[in-house]
Amino acid sequence: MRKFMMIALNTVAILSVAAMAFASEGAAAYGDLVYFGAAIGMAIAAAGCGIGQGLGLKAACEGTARNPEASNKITVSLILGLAFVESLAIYALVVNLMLLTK
Amino acid sequence: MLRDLGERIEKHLYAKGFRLPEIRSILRVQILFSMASALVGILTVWCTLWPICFAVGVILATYSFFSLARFIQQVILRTYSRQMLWGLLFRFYGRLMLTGLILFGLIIELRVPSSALVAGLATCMATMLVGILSHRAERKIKEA
Repeated sequence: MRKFMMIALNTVAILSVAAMAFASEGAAAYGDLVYFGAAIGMAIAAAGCGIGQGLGLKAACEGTARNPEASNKITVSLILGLAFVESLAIYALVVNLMLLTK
Repeated sequence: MLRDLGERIEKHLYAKGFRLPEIRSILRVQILFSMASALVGILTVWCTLWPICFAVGVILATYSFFSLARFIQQVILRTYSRQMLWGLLFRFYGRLMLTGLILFGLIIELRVPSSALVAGLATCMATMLVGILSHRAERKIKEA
């Protein structure tokens, strides 16, 4: 039942956005949708990366508090993990800026 | 000559506060790579824009990783003081804003080739992956 509800809600959401897209006429409306898409895309990317970085930092703080001797190893893993996550946010920014140039 | 340059970079990084050898070695490779790509980009700027855009991407990625690694080490390995915390936060958000502004200027205003920029930005991830894998291989050899 829950699966069916999820599929139905997703279908309704997609159809409602598609109706907006079909209803729009001319380049101005298309441009507005591009701005909207870029903003939503950056927001989702920033939220995901923020959650990921927060989880990583939380685990690193807990690990360091439990075992202070392993602080150096944990810090290396933390720096690499945060750099990976942050590079994803930078890629999202690049892709969204590329969308704006279209 | 390359080894001397690498050692000099590593000494400079240690003096800057990078106490972790793994991070220092990754940064050393990335800095050497950014210097080489900048040199190639400057030498070939008269015939194509691709290498110089790639070099800009590499330098941005290196700067971003450098700042992030420095920030984390300063937060975790140094003693806390209120003044230091404000400075760290200011520099962290300043770096993020600077990266965003540079990317905006390059992509929107100057319309540089995005593929070159993305390839340059991806070098940092590649360097980190290679660093992690080589470190793991070294550990396995030591254990064996």
